Amino acid sequence: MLSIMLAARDSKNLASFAVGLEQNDQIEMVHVDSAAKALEMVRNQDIDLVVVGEELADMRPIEFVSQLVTIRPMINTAIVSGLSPHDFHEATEGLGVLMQLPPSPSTEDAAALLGKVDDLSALLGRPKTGVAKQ
Amino acid sequence: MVRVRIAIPSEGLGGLDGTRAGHFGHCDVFTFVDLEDGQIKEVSTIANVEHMQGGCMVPVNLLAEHKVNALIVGGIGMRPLMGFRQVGITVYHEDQRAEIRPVVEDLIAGKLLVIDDNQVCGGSSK
Repeated sequence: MLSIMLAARDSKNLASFAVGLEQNDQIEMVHVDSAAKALEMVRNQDIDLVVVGEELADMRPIEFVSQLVTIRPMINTAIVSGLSPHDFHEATEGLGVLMQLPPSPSTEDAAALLGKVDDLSALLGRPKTGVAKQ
Repeated sequence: MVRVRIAIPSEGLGGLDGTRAGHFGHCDVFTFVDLEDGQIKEVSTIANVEHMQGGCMVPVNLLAEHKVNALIVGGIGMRPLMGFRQVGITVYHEDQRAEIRPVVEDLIAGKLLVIDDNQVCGGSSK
């Protein structure tokens, strides 16, 4: 089972992406709209992956991930961002972001992200989650 | 008897007379220097694993599995630094010399400093 948090002020732009994830019965999802709620939740629950929308209610996404990695560095992240790949890399260097997602990410983007999660599991020598196959 | 294993991200074949790698995640090998009561007892190397975007916990996991106690880096990002701290590996900072041996000798002599949060690489340090 893969536990995914969607952290976004407005989840409308993530609707297709979320559907792509929810089709998978190996995934459980929670949604929060603020960094404060997200940071509180990761302190108390096992979360494997946090997908951050373009906006949060109380904090810029990259600042949120900067705080997240100091609390729970083992959690993987993906961020929705319209920055160019170069600018995104510069802005997030050192934060170990697994994937940049485009604005209004699609079901295909969800599948690509799950593929990266599985690739990472293989590099860690852990059993593949299997989420990328469904 | 106090045993300590030091890891140094290294280029090429590594080893005590080898050269350090500037980016720990992209190094060819990790040189391990095993100390007993502050004396070098054994030097070995292990290959690094493939690097992928967002995969900075992979070397953290690798070094933790190999019972590393201390890591010497020239630079490191915030996430892997926090990961190393979480698994109990102390990260030291030295970004001036490329040679492995003098840096290890300085660590043994207590001359290297533990890396500070504001010394991390990347946008998160700004």
